[in-house]
Amino acid sequence: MICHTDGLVLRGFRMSESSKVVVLFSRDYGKLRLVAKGARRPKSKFGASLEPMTWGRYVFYRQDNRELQILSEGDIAHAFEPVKQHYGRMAAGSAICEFLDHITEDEDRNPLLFSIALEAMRWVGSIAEIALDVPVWYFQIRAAGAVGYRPHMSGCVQCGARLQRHRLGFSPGLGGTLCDKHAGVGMRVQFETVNFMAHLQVGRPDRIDLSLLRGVNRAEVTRILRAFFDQHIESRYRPKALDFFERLRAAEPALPYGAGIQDL
Amino acid sequence: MASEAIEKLIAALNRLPGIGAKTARRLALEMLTWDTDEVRELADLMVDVKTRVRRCSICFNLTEVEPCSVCSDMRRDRSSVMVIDFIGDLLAFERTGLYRGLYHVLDGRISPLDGIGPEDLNISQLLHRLRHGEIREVILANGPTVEGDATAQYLSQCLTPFEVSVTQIARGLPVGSDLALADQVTLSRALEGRREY
Ligand SMILES: [Zn+2]
Repeated sequence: MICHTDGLVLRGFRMSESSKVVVLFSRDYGKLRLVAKGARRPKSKFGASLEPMTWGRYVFYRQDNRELQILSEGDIAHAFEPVKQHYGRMAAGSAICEFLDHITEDEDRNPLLFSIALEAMRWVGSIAEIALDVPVWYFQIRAAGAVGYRPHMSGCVQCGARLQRHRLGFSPGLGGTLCDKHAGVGMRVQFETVNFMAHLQVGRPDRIDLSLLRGVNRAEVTRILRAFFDQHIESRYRPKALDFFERLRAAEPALPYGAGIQDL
Repeated sequence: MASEAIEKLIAALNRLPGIGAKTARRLALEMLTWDTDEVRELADLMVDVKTRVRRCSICFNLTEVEPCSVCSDMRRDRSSVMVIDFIGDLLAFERTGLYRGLYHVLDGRISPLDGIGPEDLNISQLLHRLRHGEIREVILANGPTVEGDATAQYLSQCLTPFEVSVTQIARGLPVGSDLALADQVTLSRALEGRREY
């Protein structure tokens, strides 16, 4: 059966001298592994359409019970050039693609997740460099929600109480934030951090208020997300691109976010 | 199954790139028709290559002598160094016969998805050459992929403190291809890289 779908290329592997296997998160069929014959040759008909972090329209020949499907065409819809042409943005985009690969099973269709991924990739290309972590957090939090692991951040996960400014907790196991009274069982977190993470859950990128970043501790967000995903998403491998991105960010100043935020 | 020894040989040949199970079987059966001396010569050659060929301590080219024939060739332009990802790329440029400068093989490309960072490549050795040599021009010849571009971006950041001219090989259309069939990324790279005519 010949199938057409939009998709985001998550990564590629060399298969032989001239061919490669592409991992594509497609809008209509979920994650696919596609063989692109001749894709490594200079005059390949696939051109740049199979580079990671590319949104394109793909045509493949689908057979049931096959782990690999045969790709026949690829046309670029959006190459995310601002992401690929900047070292730090490329690292952020890679972390997003890796996470998407990590949380999805093959051929599990999820159009919402697909559109969140495109939003996040666009945002990585446009956001001020100082806030480059935000689209990555945004994607992790929204994507987790789209596959059924939404962290609870709007009140205490134990008793539903509103969160107070001081003495807050987060429990990866219980899947959310804890009020003063119940914070004993979780990790200690700051109000600004949790508040900003909760804010990322509700809006699309254009409705996120980056002034809320003030006082947010980058390392704390990272720690919370790691602990949460370690608990809820089966992890068989260590994230490489995310480690890479976080190492790069850790070398940057502005921790916690302070001056500079008003310019965003 | 013919014999255990043959099956073992087929499996070993099958590990080579571009050699599928069928070709491996054909090669193994072909070897059986050779004289024992011929087979021994081939085996000796393989062992010889493995024990004698090393990496050049300056540019990481393959060599039997130290430094390699490129680095020790005084007729080459020692003020120019071309940075490439893999040894295969060096051999490809040498086939053109056009480039007369030196090389530096990085042994990979920066790839966050594979966990390959700058520290995994021969970058510090390149910077060492720049600090202690007569290099005036660095040509970035990293592959035209996301990873190759990332490597070039990283290198250009590292090279800013040095008084060297940094150029990058052209990106864009392959010779002999059809312009109308090229994708928008390839075409825009070709346009960006246009020059006086
Ligand atoms: Zn050398």
